[in-house]
Parts: sequence; structure tokens; C-alpha cells
Amino acid sequence: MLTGIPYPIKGLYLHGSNALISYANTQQVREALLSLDFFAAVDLFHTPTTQIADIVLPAATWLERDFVISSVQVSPDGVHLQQKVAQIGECRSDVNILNQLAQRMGLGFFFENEQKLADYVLSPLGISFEDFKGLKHFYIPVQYRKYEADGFRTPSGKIELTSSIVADAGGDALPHYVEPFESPYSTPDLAKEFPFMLTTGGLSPVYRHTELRNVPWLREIDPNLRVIMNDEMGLSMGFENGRFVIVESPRGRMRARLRLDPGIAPSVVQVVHGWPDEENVNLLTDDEHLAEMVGSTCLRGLLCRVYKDGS
Amino acid sequence: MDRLFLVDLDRCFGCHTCEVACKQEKDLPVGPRLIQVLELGPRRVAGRVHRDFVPTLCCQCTEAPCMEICPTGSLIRDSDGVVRLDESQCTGCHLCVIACPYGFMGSHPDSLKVVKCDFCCNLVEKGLDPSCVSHCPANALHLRPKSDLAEFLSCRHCMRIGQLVYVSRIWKLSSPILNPKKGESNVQKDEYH
Repeated sequence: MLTGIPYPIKGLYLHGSNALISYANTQQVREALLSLDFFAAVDLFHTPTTQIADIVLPAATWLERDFVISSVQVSPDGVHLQQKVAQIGECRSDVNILNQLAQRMGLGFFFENEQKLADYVLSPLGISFEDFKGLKHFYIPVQYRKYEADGFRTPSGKIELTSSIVADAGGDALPHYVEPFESPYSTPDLAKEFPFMLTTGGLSPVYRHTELRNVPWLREIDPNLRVIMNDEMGLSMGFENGRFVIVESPRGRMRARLRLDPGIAPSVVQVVHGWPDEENVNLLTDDEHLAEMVGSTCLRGLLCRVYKDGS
Repeated sequence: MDRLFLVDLDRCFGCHTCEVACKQEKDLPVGPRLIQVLELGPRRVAGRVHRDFVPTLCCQCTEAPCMEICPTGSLIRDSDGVVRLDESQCTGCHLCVIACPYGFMGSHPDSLKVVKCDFCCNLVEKGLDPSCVSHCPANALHLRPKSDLAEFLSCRHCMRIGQLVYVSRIWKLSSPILNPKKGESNVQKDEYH
């Protein structure tokens, strides 16, 4: 979006993504989103991302839509019925919004409504959504030792201790250690300026990614973000528990309260991700050095420095 | 039937599900927290770092200051040993909120009525567990008749405060975690050793 290479991007339609908080290098993400001519966002709640959108469409939650649920992450063999029980305001489901857009734009392949899509999803089972209301859920019969007949779903049909898929794609079939792009070993000069290793992998027990900060009960349990730092290291640097500190990386800086903690290595600083505004740790993360073969951004092995707010 | 509320300190991992389950069951807004998971540490103990979670709730004190101070007699101990609030008698004077040494008498910010943990006696009467107990994913909370505690207490240190019993295999529970007023302890230490 920012470079216009290989072609300029003028508009963005974003579904259920709080990109402004959850993507690496927030400052860059903000510039990119603001550079667009048109930006439409669909979400359950207002987020920092929807606040800079030109149009915000309220999405229906799972209580507000009929659909067929298949949880591929938990049980790929089962589908469940989800029946609408409420309609709040003018919310529409993601599926309806997309299909109605496709219809208006003359894109050809679309479903008139959610029921039609559900019928399509259920068609391999030979039943319609109306029939499914009687069934409520459907499971493929459990079959043990499938590999004895069909082998495993790998190119060789066997258990692969090295990944032939990755090797064919030009990667290393066995995982190997890669020093982070910035670290006391790979960039010793930079590490003198930014002496701490930053990790953003820790989580709060009551929140998930950027979600749920708007739930009062949960906010009561976990009211604010803490930058976690080794207690002896923090005390030796003159920090006090609970005071505001600035955490800075070569990309940017953030501000939050400090928690001195004996359970963390002296060289490491941990910040939970997903908080908005100046408490957003993605202000510090990098979006240019991507993981080999996967393309994910580096969110754990980064350099940073910490100093008292106001100094 | 005397019922005791057991908290297995070794099993709680601090997910706070009990707190949300309580708010949902009792229909409470932000403010009163009838069960609260406290975090101990991370702290160094004998050279090692420990981090523990302690679910805390109304212990239904043996000699309950809330009952003693209530001018309308709206706090009554039932046959299970639970101190229940009779809402129709409560005038909302909040003397019990001031008297409670643990801070577990809650005040509803909208109705200004007192709210109190009664081990979800309305659910227990139907043969169900209290909301916090049934929602605990760690199986750390139990409400059991006093006669049915053997499996929980074997090979464990335990400490009783009122109707609340903390058990642990790791920590020697010899003193109350929450200190009642000086000079009046309702801890019955040696009962289950």
C-alpha cells in the first residue's frame, strides 16, 4: 500500500481484523491504512481500526445468525447447527454482507442468503439446512487406524521425520536455528543501545489477542497492561514496581506500567500484546524481516531499551 | 448438613473463570467481587521462584461479624453452616460491609443492596454445585458435606477458616492466609490433621 509496488492499492475491505493493533509495526500500518482512498471495516465492536475506516458495518455475532459450524481446529469430523436467537440493531452476518456486495457488483458466484450457503456447505451430506434443524449435529463415524488402509496424508504416505513438502518448496527439511535479525550476537552494536530482548508472546488469562478489553467483568480482573522485567535488574536500574516506563525499539516506543518479577531472565522484557494506543507493543515490532518459508513477522526476539517515563 | 468449601491450592492456575461464573450467576456488575483469585508472587521461596493463585471468598465465619452487627437480623446461618442474606429484611445500611474483616460483603452499585456469597444455596438446593465450582476448569473448588472430605484431606496440609478449607500438598498451611481481627481467630487448625 505504501510503495504502490507491484501495483497501487486504493481501497481495502477488512473483516474482523484489528489490524491497527495486531499487525507488526503499528506506525507503518497506520500510515498504510490512512494512505488508502477508501477503507471499509466490518467488526462486532468498534476497535482502533474501525475508528479510522471510512465505513463501518456492524457484524452479527454467532447468536445473531443461522449457520453451520465446523470447528476444524478442534473436531474436523463434526458439524453443528447454530440457530439465530437475537437481532441487535441492523447487524448482518459477514456472509450476508459479502454475498450482497457480490450481488450488487455482479460478481456472479454468490448465495442469496445464509441458508443457501448452509445448504451448499451441507450438500456433501445430502441434506439441507432445514433438514439439519432436526439433526442439530452430525459426526463422521470414528474410524481408527485409517493409515493401515490409506497411509498418512504426506507425499510418501508415511510418517515423515523430515518434511518433504518444505524441501520441495526449496526450504530446509529439518528445522534449524536462525539467530534473530537483531540480537546481541547478530547486531552487537545495536544491542549496546538496546540492551534487552523483547518478547510479546505472554498472554493475559482473560483476554485473547486484541479482543475482550471492552468486557467490564474482564477489565475488572485485569485492568491494565504491565511491562514485565526481572526484579533485581529493574531495582538495579532504579525502577519501581507499578510506575510508568517507556519501552523503545529501533521502530518506535510505547508506555505502560512496570511489573518487577523474579520469574523472568534479567536480559528479557516481556509485554503482552493486544492493548491499544500507547500500550500497544506492536509499535515496537518489525515488519520487514520475515520468517523463512512461513512469512510471519518476528514478535519475540527483538531488541529494546527501557527507561523511566519522563526521564 | 454442615457443608465445607474446599479450595485445592495446587490445582488453581489463575484463569479467573470462577469470578466470571459468579458474576453471571449472581447477575453482578463491576464492583462487588464475591470470589476473587489472588496472585501470590511471582516470589522467591528458598531460592526458587514460585507463583501461586489463591481463590478467596466469604468463609462464612464461625462467629460472623456481619451477623452480629446486622440491626435487622437479615443475616441468618442456615443448617449447612452458610450465612444467608434475607433480602426482604435488608435495609442496605452497609454495617455488615464495614464489619466484615475480609471485605467480602459486597455492595451493589445500582440498588445499593448488600450482596453476599451464600455458596449458591439456591443451586445447591437443586442438587447442583455453586457456579464457581461447576465452572472451574482446574477442579480446584469443591463444596462437600463435612462427612465426605476424606479423599481431599489425605496426604494434604489443610487449613480451615469458617466453612472454607484450603488444601495443598506443596505448602504447609499452618497460619491463616487472611488474618481475621487481632485476638479473634476463627481458624480451627488442628481439626483435620
